[in-house]
Amino acid sequence: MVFNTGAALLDAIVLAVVSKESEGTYGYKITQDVRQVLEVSESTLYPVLRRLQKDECLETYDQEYGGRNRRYYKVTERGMAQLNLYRAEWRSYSRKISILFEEEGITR
Amino acid sequence: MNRKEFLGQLERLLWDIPEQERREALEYYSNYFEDAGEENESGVIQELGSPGKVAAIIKADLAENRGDYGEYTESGYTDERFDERKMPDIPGGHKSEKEQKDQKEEGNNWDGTRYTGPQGEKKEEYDGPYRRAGYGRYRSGEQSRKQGRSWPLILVIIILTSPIWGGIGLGILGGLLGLVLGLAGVLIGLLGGCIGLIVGGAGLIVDTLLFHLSTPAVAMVSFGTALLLIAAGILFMLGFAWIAIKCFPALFRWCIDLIQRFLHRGMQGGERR
Repeated sequence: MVFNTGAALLDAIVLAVVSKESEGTYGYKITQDVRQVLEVSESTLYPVLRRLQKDECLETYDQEYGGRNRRYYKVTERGMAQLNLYRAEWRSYSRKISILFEEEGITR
Repeated sequence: MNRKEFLGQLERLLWDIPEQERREALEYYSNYFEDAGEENESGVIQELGSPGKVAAIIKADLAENRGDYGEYTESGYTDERFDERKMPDIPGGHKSEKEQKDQKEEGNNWDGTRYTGPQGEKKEEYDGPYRRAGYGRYRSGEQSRKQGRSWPLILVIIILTSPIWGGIGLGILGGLLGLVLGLAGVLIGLLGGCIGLIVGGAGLIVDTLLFHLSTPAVAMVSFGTALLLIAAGILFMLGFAWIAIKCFPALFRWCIDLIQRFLHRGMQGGERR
C-alpha cells in the first residue's frame, strides 16, 4: 500500500477485527484477518495486541484447544468505546479526504 | 531454521526484557506456530523475519519507542513538523514567539479540539483518543524531536564524532566501574568494622567478667563500653545489609540498564531500513 498505516489506525483495525468475534479470537487468526485488508508484517501485531491489552482495551483468557492452551483476545467495554471513537474519527477523516479528492477532479 | 530454533533464538535475544514480557512474547509466538500448523511453519518463519527483527520490534515497543514503526499517527507527524520548524525559529528573534504560539494553537486545534472532543484541557496530551498509556507522557519534547530527524544524518554524525563518544563512553564506563568498586570497598569496610566491633565488644565483656568484677566502677565502665561497641557493630551490620541488599543490586541494574540503552540504541539504528 502506498499509504502509511499509523499506529492508531492499526489499533483501530485490530480492535475492529477482534470485536467481530463475540467469543474472542486468537493471535494467528487476528493476524490473518488483519492481513486480509492490510499488508502488515506478521511480527508487527504482537506489540499492538500487547499494548491494547495493557491499555485494557483487550482482555485475554486461555482455553484449551487441541490439547494445548490457546490465548484468546476479547474486546473490553473500554476497547469498544475506543473503537467507536476510532470509527467516528475515521468516518469524518475519510469523508473529508474523499471530498477533497473528488473536488479536485471536478475543478480541473 | 525451524520453529524450535526460532523460538530458542528469540528467547535468547529477549534475555534483557522483564521475565513476564519474555514469557508472554514467547507464548504468543509459540501459539502462533501451533495455530499456523506444521505445514506452514517455514512460511511463518519467513514472514516473521529473523528472530532478531521480531525481538527488536518487541523491545522497541517496550521502550515505547514508536519511531521503530516508521509510521506515526497524524498527530505525531504534525507535532514533529511543528517541532522542527520551531527549532530554527528560536534563535531567529522577535517574531518567533508569536509564531510559536500560533503554531502551538494550530497544533492544539488539530489534535485537541478535533480529536479529543469534549474532554477540555489537554494541552500536554497530544493524542486525544489515540492516546495509549505511556505514549503521551513519553513523547514530550526531546524524544519526539529526536525521531523527527532523519536517521542517516544522525548515523553520520555519530560516526564522525565517534572518537569523542568513545572517550566519553569509556569515561562513563570507568566512572561506573569506580562507583561499583568504591561501593564494594565500603561494603568490605563495613563488614570488617562490624566483625571487629562485635568481636571487640564480646572480648571486652569476657575481660570484664574475668578481671574487673572486683572493681565495680571499672567493671561498669568497661561493660558499658563493650555494649556500645557491640551496638556500633550491629549498626555497621545493618548498614552492610542495606547496601548489599538494596543499593548494590539497584546500582548494578542501573549500570546495566545504562549500557544496555547505549547498545540498544545503536542496534536500532542499524536495523532501520
